[in-house]
Amino acid sequence: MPPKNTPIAKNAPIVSQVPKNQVPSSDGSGISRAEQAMAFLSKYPQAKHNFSAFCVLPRNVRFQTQEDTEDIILLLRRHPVTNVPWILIAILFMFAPMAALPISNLGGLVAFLDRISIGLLPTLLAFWYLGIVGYILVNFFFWYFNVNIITNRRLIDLDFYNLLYREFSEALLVKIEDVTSVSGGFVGAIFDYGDVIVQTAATMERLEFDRVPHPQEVVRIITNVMEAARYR
Amino acid sequence: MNIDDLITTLVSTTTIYHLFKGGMLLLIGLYIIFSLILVRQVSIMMTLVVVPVSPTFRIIIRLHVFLSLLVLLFALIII
Repeated sequence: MPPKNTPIAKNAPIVSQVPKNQVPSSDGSGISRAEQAMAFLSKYPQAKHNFSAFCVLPRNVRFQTQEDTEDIILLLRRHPVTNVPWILIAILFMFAPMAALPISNLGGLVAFLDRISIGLLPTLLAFWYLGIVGYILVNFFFWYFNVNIITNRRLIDLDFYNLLYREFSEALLVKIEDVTSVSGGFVGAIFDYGDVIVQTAATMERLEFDRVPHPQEVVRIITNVMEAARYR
Repeated sequence: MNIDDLITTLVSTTTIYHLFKGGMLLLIGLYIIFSLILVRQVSIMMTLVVVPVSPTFRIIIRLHVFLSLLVLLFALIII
């Protein structure tokens, strides 16, 4: 469920930019159906910083192919809890030399290294901790920049698989046929995260938002944005 | 010949010393290449998705390259 913080103002940019009077309201309230479809965003808190995994109307975030009239409605990353394994590994590796050195002292390894060169052990340790810094940086950047973006025109899935391979997929809202959320597993159920699968027209591949927070809410937002796009 | 005598013999030849030193420097050299690739990759990431914290990321990632160069220098001096 969305957290209950400061709601987005009614005159937030994304709402005000919806063209009026293109499709008149059915209830005679004077609000266009596109606006009605987008008004639901007011119940979500606006992102205060850009380290969140569920940023509604993120501030000062842009992407390379963004058009002038295009607004980012939702920016998603993997749920923060999915970072726990690599954080634990990094912590374990940090303390590993402290545990290993007394043991290897018994085995005579330290004495052996000191006999080869007095500076070998400090260099090995410096290199070890440098490697941990690199490991943390790579994992953090992969988490931070593996984003899924929902705009008022399309969905974007940006995946960095490793240092040398990345994938950029996008689908126009009008081409989307089906949106499904898949949530499962013990941790996923506790922390409310799961996959959102977006099926587009038959010739196109489907987009997958992996382990994003509040998958049901994401589906709801996509559905509303699609509806707004249809009436625009 | 026990293990201690064997080690003493090996160390006295200095072959193992050069082996260790060469291996260590090679590893650190490869690591520097890795850190440079990381700089390039993060820079690409930041052009694809522009975030306000980009300058901080740039500093951190360059600091990482600087650190790896320092470790190489340290290894060259101390080993």
